[in-house]
Amino acid sequence: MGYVAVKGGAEAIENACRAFLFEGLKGDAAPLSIEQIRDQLFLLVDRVMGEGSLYAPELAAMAIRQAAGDTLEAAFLLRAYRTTQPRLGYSIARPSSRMRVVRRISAAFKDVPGGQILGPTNDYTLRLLNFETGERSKIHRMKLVNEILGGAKSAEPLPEEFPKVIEILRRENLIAEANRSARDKTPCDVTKDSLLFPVPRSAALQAMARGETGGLLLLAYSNMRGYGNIHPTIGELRVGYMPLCVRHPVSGEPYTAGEVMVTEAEILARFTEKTDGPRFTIGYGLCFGHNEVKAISMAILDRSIQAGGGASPSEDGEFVLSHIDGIESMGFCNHWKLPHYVDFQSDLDRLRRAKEIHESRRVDQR
Amino acid sequence: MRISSDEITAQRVFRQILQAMSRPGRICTLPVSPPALRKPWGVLLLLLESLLDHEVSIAVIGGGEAERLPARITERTQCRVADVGQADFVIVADGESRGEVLRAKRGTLQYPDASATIVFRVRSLVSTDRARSRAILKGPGIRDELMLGAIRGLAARELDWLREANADFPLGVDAVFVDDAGRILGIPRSTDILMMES
Amino acid sequence: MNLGEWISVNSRSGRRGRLDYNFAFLDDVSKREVRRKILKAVAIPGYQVPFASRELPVARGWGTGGLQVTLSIILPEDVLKVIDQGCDGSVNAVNIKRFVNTVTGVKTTTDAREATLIQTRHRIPEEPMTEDQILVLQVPYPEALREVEPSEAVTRRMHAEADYSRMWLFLYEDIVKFDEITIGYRYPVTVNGHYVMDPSPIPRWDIPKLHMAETLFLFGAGREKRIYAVPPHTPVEPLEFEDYRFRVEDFRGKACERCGATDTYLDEIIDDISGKRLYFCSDTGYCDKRCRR
Repeated sequence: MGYVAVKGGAEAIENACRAFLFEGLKGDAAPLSIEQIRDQLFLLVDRVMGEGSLYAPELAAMAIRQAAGDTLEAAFLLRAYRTTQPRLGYSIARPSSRMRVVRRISAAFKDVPGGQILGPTNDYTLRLLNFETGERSKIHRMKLVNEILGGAKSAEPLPEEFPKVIEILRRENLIAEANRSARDKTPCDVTKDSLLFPVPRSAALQAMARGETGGLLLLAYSNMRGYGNIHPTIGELRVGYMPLCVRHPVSGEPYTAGEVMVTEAEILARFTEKTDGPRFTIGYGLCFGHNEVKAISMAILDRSIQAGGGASPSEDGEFVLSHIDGIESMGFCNHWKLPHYVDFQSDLDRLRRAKEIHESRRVDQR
Repeated sequence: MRISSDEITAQRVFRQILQAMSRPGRICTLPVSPPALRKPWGVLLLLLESLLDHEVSIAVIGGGEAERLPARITERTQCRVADVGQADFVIVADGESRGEVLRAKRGTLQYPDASATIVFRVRSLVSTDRARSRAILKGPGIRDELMLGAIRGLAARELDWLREANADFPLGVDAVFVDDAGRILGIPRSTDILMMES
Repeated sequence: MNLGEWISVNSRSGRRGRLDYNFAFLDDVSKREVRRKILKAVAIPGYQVPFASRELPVARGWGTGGLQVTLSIILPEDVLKVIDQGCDGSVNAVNIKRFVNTVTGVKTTTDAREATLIQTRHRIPEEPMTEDQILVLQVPYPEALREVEPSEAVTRRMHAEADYSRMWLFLYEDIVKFDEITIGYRYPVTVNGHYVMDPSPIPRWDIPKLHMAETLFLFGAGREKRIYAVPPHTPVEPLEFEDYRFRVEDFRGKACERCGATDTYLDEIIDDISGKRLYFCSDTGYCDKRCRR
C-alpha cells in the first residue's frame, strides 16, 4: 500500500445501505406486513410511539420494520417524520378520570371504588418459553378467540368512569398540593424551546413522556434501590383510551376527534415534613400506548426531581432530563463511529510532546 | 418538495440582514421587488417577514400612519403585540423613538439574548457623505474603524440612546436600520459607537 | 366535518402550501427561530444562544446543528462544500451534502475557493476564507467549561459572572502534571475579550484562523441546542500563560506524500506492510489543487 484512496466515499455509503437492506431480504421467511407488526407486536409499537413522540400505530409499525426491530432507530424514524408534519394546534386538556379504562389497579388499597380491573396483562404469566413454532391457522385462531370471549361470564358492563384513587385521599386532606408557580400556568412546549434549567414541571413531564424506556427505568431503579428515597406506592395505574379534544377549525367549538391509548401512573411518596403538615406527595407519569414500566418510572422520577436536593442522579432534574432522550443519546453514542482522526492526531501530538518532556526531565534528574 | 418563492425571498432577505449584523455600519441591499417598493411599508414588512412569526412579539413606536402598522405586521406574520418593555422586536416607524428605545429589554447576564432587536425605519442610508457623519464605529465585524455615513430621517439623539442602552455588554439591544429603497445597516450591541463632535 | 375531512377539503381547493415540504426542508417557523438566534449570536460574539433544535433525518450527534444553521441561510445560488476531518469524501460529509442538495438543489463543490457556504466538522479549510463566504461548524460540545463542570445551570452562571477561574486552574494543573497544556482539540479561546468559547473539535492548528478573520463563523450544536458565532475582524485568543504559550501541532520535518506540502495539517497513516508512517494533507480539496498545479 503506497497511497491511501480518499475518494469513493459516496459509493461505499450506497453499498452499505444496500447491504443492510439485504440482511432483511435474504431469509426464506415470508416478509412481515405492517398489519402483523401493529396487531401482534402491539407493545413494541406502543413503546416506539411513545419514544418517537408521535401517536401513529401504522407508522410506528412501518418504522419498526424499516429499522429491523431496533427500537432506538424506529423511534428516530418517527421523530424525524414528526418534524415534517404541520403543527395545527394544541388539544384541549381533559382529566384522566374520563379515560375509557382497559386496565386499572391500585397497590395502595386492597379494593377501590370501581374495583381492581386487571385487564390485559402478562404480569401473572409464568415465564415459560412457548415452543409452538407453527403458524396458527385462521380456524385455530378463531377457536381460541371464541374460547376466550365465550368463556367470560356475562359480566356487568364496566362503569363509564372510574373515580381517581388520589381524589379519595385528597378528600381526606392527605395529599400535599402541588407547588404551582406562575411558570406552571401555561404548559411549555419542549419541541419549541430548549430546556433551560431548572425547568417548569410541564417541561419535565413532556421530556419524560417522550423519553427512552430503558433510560427512565435505569434512573428510577437507582432511586428505588436507595440512591434517593421516594419509597413509592402505586396509588393508581391505568391503561385506557383518552379522548382527543380539539377546537373545530371552522366553528371553534370543542369536539372529540378520536381517542389515544395511554398508560398513566400516580405514585404516592412517603410523607415528609416539608409539606404543610404531614401529607403524601404525588409523582405522575403518562405515556402513549401500553407501557407500564415507563409510566411508573416516570412517576418516580417526577417525584424525585420535585423533591430534589439530594446527591443522587435521580434527584437532579438537570441530570435526569439531559440524559433520557433516546434519539439524542443514541445519536451521540453512534457518532463516535464517525472519523475522529484529526482530533486523534492532535491528541497524538500532545502525547508525544508530553513524553518528550517527561523523558528530558528524567535525563535531567540523573 | 415544493419551492415557495416567498420562502426563498425571505431567505435572501435574511442573508442580507445577517451580513449587516456581521459587518456593522456596512450598507447592504435587500432583494425588494418593484411592486413591494411601491407598497406602503413594503420594505419594512419584507424585512420583518423573514424574522417574525407567532412565537415573538412586536411594539411599534411612531404616530400618524404608523398607528396602522401593528395590524399590518400581525396580519402578515401572526406575531403578537406587546409593550415596548417586553417586545422582542421594537419598530421605530419614522426614525424617532424619543428615548423609548431605553425601555426595550436588554436581556440578563445569564441570557443576554433575551433582548430586543430595534428596527429603525429611516428615510435614507447614504454611504459617502462624510461631512454629515455623526459617529465612528469600532468592534467585531469592523476592520479597524468605520465612519458611519449620514442616516437621513434618524432623529438626533437616537445613536446616543443606543449607546446608553448598550453601555453594559453583554446586556443591550441590537439595531437594524432600513430605508424605503431597501438598504439596510446593522449595529449590534458589540459595536462601540464613538460620537463625533458636530 | 372532522379534522381529516377538513384537511382533504383544503388540499383539494389548492391550499396545499401548509402541507408540503419546504425549500431547505425546515418549515417556516423553524427557520425563523434559527435566524433570530443566529442574529443574537452574531451580536454577542462567543455567547451560546439556546434554540429549539428540530429533529432531522440525520441523527443527533451527526451534524443536525450545523445543518439547521445551513438550511436557514442557504440560497439556491449558493455553492456548497461539506467536509469532515477536512475531507470532502468522508461518510458524514457525503451524507450531509446529499441531504442538502436534495432539499435545495444547490450546486456542490470540493473547491474551497469556489464555495460560498462551507459546512465543516472538526477542520477549517487551509485556504483563507473571504468575506463572501460563510463557514458553518458542527459542534458536539458547545460548552468550553464542560470539562470542569458537568452542570449547565452552573456553567451558565460562570459565563454570566465571567468567572473562568476553574478553567484556568484546569490548565495550570495540566502544566504541573505534564509541563504542558495537554488539550489538543476544543482548545478554549476568549472571544472579543469577553466570553470563553469552545471552537469545536478543530485542532490547535486551526485556532489562529478564527482570529481577526475576513469571514463569518457560525457554530451549530443540534443535540445540545445552542448556536454561537464569531463575526469577522473579531479577536479570538487561546487561553495561555505568559510562560506557557499556546502552540500549534508540530509537523516539522514532515511533508504530504501526495503534494509535498509542509505547511498544512497532516493526517498520519501507518503503512500496514512496512509499518512506516506516512503523512497526507487533511484538507483533501487543497491537496488535490496542489497536485493539479
